[in-house]
Amino acid sequence: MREWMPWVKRSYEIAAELGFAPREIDFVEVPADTIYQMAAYNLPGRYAHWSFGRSYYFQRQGFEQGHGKIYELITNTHPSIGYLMDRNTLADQIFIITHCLGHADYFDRHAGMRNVRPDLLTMMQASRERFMEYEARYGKLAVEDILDTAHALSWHVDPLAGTTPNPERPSHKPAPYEDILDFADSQNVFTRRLKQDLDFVTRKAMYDQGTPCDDLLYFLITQAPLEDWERDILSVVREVGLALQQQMRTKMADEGWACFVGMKILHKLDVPDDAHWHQSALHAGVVHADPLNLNPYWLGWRLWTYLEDQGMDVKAICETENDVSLLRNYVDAGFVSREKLYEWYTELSTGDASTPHGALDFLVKTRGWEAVRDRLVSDAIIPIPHVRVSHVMSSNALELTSPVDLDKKDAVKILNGMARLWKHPVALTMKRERVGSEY
Amino acid sequence: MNDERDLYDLMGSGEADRERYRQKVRDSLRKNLDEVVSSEEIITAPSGKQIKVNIPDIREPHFWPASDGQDHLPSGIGAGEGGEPIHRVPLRPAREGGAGKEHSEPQLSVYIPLEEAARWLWEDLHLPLIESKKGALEDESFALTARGRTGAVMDRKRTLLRYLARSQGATNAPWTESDLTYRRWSERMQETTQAAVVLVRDASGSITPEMQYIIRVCCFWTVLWLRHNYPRVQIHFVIHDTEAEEVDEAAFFKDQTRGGTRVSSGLLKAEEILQKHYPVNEWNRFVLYFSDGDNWEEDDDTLDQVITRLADSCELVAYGQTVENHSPTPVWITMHRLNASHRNVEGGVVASKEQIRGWLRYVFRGKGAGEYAGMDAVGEAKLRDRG
Repeated sequence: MREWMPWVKRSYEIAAELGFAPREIDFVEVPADTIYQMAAYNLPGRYAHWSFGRSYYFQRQGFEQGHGKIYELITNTHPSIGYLMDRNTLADQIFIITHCLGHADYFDRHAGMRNVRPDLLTMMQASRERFMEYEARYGKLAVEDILDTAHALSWHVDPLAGTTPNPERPSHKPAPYEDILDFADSQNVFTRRLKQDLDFVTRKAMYDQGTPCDDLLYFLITQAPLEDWERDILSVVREVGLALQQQMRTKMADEGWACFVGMKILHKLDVPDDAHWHQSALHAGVVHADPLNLNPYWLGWRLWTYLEDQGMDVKAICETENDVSLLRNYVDAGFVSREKLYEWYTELSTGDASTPHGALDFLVKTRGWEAVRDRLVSDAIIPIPHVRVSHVMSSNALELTSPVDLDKKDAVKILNGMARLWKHPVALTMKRERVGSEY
Repeated sequence: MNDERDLYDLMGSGEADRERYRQKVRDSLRKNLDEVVSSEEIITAPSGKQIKVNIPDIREPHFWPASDGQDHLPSGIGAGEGGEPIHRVPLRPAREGGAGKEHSEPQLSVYIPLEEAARWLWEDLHLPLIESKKGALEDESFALTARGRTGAVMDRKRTLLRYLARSQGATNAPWTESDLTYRRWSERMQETTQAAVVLVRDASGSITPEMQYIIRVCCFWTVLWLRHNYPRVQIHFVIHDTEAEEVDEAAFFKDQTRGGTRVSSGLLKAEEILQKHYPVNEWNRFVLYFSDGDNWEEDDDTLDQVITRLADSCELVAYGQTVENHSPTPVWITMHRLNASHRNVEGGVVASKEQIRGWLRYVFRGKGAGEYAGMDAVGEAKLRDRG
């Protein structure tokens, strides 16, 4: 029985009194190491990949060098899992618990967040075991190569493209030439490949009737000549990508809501006096006004507080708005002047006596509310280029387009990975340039 | 609730994935051997220390907007009273050689031990171990090779053989004292191979700091390779312009004189050192010479003779030319002629950091693919053209 456990029950009671309905959270106390791994993997039980190892390595390094301590981590799953670092004080834990309840309320309130698939945890665990099996059977490098490509494309998923289909099973309907080649259960690589090619031709013919596709992973999953296990890997990455993308779109609103609701609960909790002081300090560290960098926690919290003070139905707004729309629709002159927001720019100057080689000066550009709002909105837009499938050539080469010029070195690497899956050349036409896969 | 932590356990793939990432970084380092080989830190670090090498970070590729090539000054949103200015960042002085404002890849600093870097290099260059011919009898070693009637450690095999020989197969024959044989310590004189290397370079005005650095790198790896092959290595340093002088290591890498160039002076000095201290029958001798190829015309004959003598008495006479050989220099021509007639006279161009590995491979007869053209390939064609 941990010290902080009774506070969880009490916090839920207060939340209900205040009219909030946070989702059930499973709180676990873990060592710092686990929290840093979780920060790298985003979801417990996620498959193995070196990119998580890299994130973990840098997170850990940052932590050891004293930059940025991760206090809380909570997952949008059913139930949510709240990670508490074992070395936190009781005051820390109470603060974090109330903050997590705020998150859990958001997860069940926001329309997008509450529709994230409820079996995400089970799916992760199951897929992790399958991937380990694939690594054993087909080699770690083969699996890694597909994951490398899938990760790059996972930023470009589109929930409207369709639900991720399951890996296809051999159909009962005879495929073309099946009676001659008899490969319904064929273990022979040659005949399997032949079957894939024929399926591919059939599907491509169907696809040619369709419209351009915005979701590259979905396209590969449904159209590319893949083995079942390859398709499985892409599918899992797509599902995770959809969940994570949803989180990215509401980062500020979510964190702001967690502070907003968390603080309300905290004020009603009978916390011992010395703990209070500590919590205020912690709160100040997490939510403070900065002259140059707006902390999303702070911005979200101030905005929700402002809207509530204006008498608006914040719960309804919370349900339907994401970061960009919230800022665009609800930041007004009153908010900008209350929080003393301004847009700043920089200028090279000759400096003064203490800066012999000149200086970079940060200056206020404007406090005009429309300019500030527009800048907040453009900063909140996630800068993922819109890369989409344009069409498939008669030679089976795949053509992609992008409205802006993209970095060519990275683009070629991704196109090469896609070509290995698509089994034909892949090319990307950008605004002014064109790149293609190397085979 | 807390004891069910296992349910949410990550099953610990963090460590394995971190290891895989490290492995990818290592692989990238091996591909960037040029950087590793000529890294300043490697040259100056004492053995055993971890050396820092910078390579582009290994990260996942993304589709991201290409930079438009312009420098955008930062801007953003802030909250508070503002100020004139809100904040001021002092600029650092412009770096030498221009600002270099290109968008550079984020760099990763990796720490590797010198021994590991050396191992990669030897593997990459496929250098065959040098067959050591000569050495002195030194270094006693002790081994349990002698046998005797008394001692502390029994030699069971011999004891048993003596017993069997005496008992002639009769069962239950009694053991006697004379059966017992013991191992004993004995001294063994071993031949230790040893090498003497004289590093000679042109210190006249025409050698630039970049050339000096490249010479330093070549010498460093050569000495390391020799140490890898010989338990004992003695090194001497000679610089010359019109006269030669033996110096210490620091002076060899830094000093510069103003005089003209008489190459034979340096090599004669090398010969002198070798004759004085390193008898031919006991020492494997190496001479390395670095210059930009310039020389007095009248010196050609003397140079030819001294190199011929050295070639006859040394394992290797190697030449590194610090400028490209677009039109063959006087030293190159002489060296090339002797290269044709002597198998242990080698040379090549080391005008840039990327050529160092090639030079090492060529001079020490490593195998493996490389576009580096040493003396044989380049010089031949050039001299043919000259007629």
